[in-house]
Amino acid sequence: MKSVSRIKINSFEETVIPPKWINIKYLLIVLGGVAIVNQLVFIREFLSVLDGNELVMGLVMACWMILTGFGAYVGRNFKISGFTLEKGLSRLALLSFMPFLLIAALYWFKKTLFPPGTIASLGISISGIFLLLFPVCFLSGYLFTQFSTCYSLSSNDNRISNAYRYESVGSLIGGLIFSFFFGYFFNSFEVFGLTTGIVLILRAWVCNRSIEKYLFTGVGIILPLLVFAFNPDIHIKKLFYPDQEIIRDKSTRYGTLTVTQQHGQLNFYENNSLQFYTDNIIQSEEAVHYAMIQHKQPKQILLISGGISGMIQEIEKYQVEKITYLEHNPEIFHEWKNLIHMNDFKNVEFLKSDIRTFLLRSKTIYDVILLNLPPPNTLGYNRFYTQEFFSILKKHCNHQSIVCTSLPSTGNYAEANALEVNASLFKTLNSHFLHQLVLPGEKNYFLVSDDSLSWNITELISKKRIITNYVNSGYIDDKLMKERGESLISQFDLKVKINHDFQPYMFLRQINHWFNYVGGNYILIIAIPAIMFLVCLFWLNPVTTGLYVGGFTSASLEVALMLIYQIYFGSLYIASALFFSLFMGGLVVGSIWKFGNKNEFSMRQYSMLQFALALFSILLPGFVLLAGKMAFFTILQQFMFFVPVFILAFGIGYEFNLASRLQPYGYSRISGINYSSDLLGSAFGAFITAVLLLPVCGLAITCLVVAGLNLFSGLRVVLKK
Amino acid sequence: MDKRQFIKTLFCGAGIACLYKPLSAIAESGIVIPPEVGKKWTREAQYYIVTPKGVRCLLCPNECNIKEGELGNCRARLSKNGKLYSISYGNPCAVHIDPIEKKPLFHFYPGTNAFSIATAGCNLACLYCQNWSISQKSPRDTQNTDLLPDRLISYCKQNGCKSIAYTYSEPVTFYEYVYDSATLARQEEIKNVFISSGFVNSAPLAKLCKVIDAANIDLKSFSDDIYMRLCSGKLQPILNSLNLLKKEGVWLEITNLVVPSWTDNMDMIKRMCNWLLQNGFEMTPLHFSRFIPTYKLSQLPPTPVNTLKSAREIALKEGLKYVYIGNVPGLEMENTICPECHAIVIERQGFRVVQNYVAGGKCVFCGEKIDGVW
Repeated sequence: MKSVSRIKINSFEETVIPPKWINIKYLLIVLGGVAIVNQLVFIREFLSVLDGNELVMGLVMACWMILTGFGAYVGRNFKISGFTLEKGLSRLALLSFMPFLLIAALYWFKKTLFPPGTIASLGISISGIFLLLFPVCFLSGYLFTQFSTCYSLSSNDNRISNAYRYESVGSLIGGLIFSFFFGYFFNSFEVFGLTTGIVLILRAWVCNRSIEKYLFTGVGIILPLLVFAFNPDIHIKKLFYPDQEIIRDKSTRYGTLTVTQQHGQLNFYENNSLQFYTDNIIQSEEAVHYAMIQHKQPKQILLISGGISGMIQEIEKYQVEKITYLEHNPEIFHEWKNLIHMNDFKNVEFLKSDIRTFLLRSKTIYDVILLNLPPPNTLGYNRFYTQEFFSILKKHCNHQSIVCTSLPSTGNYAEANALEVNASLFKTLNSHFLHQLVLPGEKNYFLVSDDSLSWNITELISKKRIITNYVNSGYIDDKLMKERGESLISQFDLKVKINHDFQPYMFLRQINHWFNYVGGNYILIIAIPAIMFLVCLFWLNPVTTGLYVGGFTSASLEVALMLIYQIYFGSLYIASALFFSLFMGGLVVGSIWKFGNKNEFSMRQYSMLQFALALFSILLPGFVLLAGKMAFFTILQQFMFFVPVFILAFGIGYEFNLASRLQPYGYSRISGINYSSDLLGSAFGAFITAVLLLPVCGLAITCLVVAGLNLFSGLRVVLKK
Repeated sequence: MDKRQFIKTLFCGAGIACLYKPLSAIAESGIVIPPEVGKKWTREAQYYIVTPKGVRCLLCPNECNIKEGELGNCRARLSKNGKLYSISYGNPCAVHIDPIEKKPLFHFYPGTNAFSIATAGCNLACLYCQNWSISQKSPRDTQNTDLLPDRLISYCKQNGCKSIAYTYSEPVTFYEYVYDSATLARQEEIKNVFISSGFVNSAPLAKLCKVIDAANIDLKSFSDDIYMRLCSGKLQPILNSLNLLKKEGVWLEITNLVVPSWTDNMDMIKRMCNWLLQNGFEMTPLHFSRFIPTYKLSQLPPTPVNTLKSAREIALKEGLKYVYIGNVPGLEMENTICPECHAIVIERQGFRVVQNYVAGGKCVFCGEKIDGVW
């Protein structure tokens, strides 16, 4: 007869516990691993299907955390009787299998609700995100509460913080495996196939009955094999590229790169967003000749992005000595070279480096610098349109150098937000260069130099006998071009702000412009979550408020640190894995750390911790400025980013540990409320910071707001005592 | 009030104060205060009736029922005090000079410039609209220029433009402005060019035909379903407009934007060309234009050049005489070929006429009539 123990915590938690529950911590680890893999893949897929800017990312992350928190909150009332390890693993298998259907549904809904090639509207995007994330997030949160409660009951002690720790360990392991292995080599369906297979095999392992053992083992092996054999990812993606043949689809460190072919034309997509295409005669000529023709003898050329659309061939018409070429995603260039089977360009040096890092280290002076980057519709791209970036660029120019950058065309009428974006760029460039022209073509081309510039493009082209298909007097009238350009410049309100790395004005205006495409109102999108955040802040009890604000703090400052990292170092893809790992590691350590008497958990400690977080937030901007000055000590500079991440996570983990001891409820209720409030705070933190605080207020104010919130929650605890 | 309440209130206030800076920053940015739509830019509409539901506009097939104080679907007609007004009279938001070939009009005074204007508003909602920043807005939302008809004609003459082009957005929505301007322009021997989707009722179009000289109509697709899904429009009214313009003797050219996955089906293009032939449009220039990703179709790739070439071949095979490809520099399919001797009668480089071998409306090589207004 098995020994049993009867434990009564409250009327919800009366149960009988078999001794096998001692292994429940492994369920928590598996839960953490599966949940984080799901999250990383879903975020990637949503950013691909919807327009992948910070607003969308903030929405996805916020919805994820809110729904998971909701599931955790609902889970506080579940009945434990009848729960077994086998059932736990079965539920985890369901959690890892559901994404198959949900990702397929995501693509199907996008194709059905929105015609091919269109951007999803914001209202339907938000509804879709909620609907599709609900099953997997709700179950994730619910299972955490369930497992952590059982874990506490199994040892007749409050082990919620231990449960949080194990779940964090699982997230850490899952995150590392995904970031350094799965994400590189496998597509989304293959990743889900592998995780489902692993969980099913674990399920088989704990089975008592042979037939179930064989069944689960068999399915656990066959399912991933089927996924690899049939590659549902490609079939689903075909919904996205009607009438196009997908000839390459691979994961890169910058995202998914898809190359399609249609009637001889090659199209390059990054995360399902069209980046370049071949036969792009107009843009490749404009982007090159408007600038190149201004220089008497251009020899050294720096080309930043766009070479594959035909720009290299156009540059070579000038008998240049060398073209230094960088892409914001170097994989695009490699795929292009392989596909068109062209010999190496003799005078083109392709560098696989982050653009800003290269410019900081290099000392070469260039005659012409051509920038052909996407517009500043993400914080990542905004960094190529800032005062700081042009300051770096200027160091590569002499008096005769020409720089050309561009923004999407304002066409025959410049919409207000688009006009402000252009005006801000104009003003930002003006602060570095003496002369500037704005040439309206397929894009608006901003030409700058310390030497004089000419509007008579086609006259110069004709004099130099450069052969072009588009940039010539056949298509362009110099006089009309000048009139249009001057008319556009006259509309610029020079009271606009200069664009900075840490005050991304152009990004903010571009987001407002983006709302014209997708519908919606920026103020409403911000005001509603902000008000909801404040309501929750005053409604929760002091201990829960601390967790809520802690969640906000961790998400907010992590978003800020990742943005800053991106500005200094470029791609976040590898670094995000390190950020994440350190964060999880910090959570784990913090959740088991004990200061002073290991049995003493006091409100005093809790309030002091929150004041410490406030101080941390206030010091962070200074820390970042210091890191910025160490531009030439890259390793030290990077180290200075990762340390605050760890410290922050340590604080949050410790806070969770304390809060679990200080809440006056039963285990399931503690688990449900604590986990959900932490997640809810994180949701608001991620969204409000990415979309409101950083773009509108900048880094310093963001940190002050976070400090203020921690002071507030700390004082609430002090007053409650 | 006890200490706890006092501190709570203090912190509430501090919290609100903390929000002041971000909210005021938002308030200062991104909100456009629409300019006042003055009475001088408002005229009573010509085509409407009064119904128990309000006024009903009869200008285009939408035939909007517009309630008091509201705008029609085109955002350029306002119902006020039981009458319908156009609020886009003399207030264009886009004023430019373009070569006539850019409209595109290849057989209408080639080599001349058109004084091009547009007011905000449109009765369609095309997903790929290049001028969406004005077509999908109201004149209340845009920065406008004061350019009543007499001033418009004056500017046109000052700039040496042969014609006025009512273009960019949808000139049907500023019908009264077009009509009055065209009437005045004719008196000054300035030509009037109507660049439109053709989504207009027959009666207003017939009246307008008396004062315009040329038109380019966008035949966006040959499928009613695609018209609805791509543009929120209908096919039949466009076909009616084409017939009416031809009947009224307005010089007509047709543009078909070939959009991948939407309007690039060769069977549909063949049916379209067949219809054009059957209805007497054999000599009407047809322009197949390359789609460039924009507005809500920004994730679609541009039309492959080979697709455009295939479309042109089909059109020529079906019997259409003047078929061009637009938006593809260097293709040399913008030259006018004599339908009889197949010589290049107008050689173009982009929008510029390099050689013109049309004399008296005929090919100088074989004497064949070359349709157009020369």
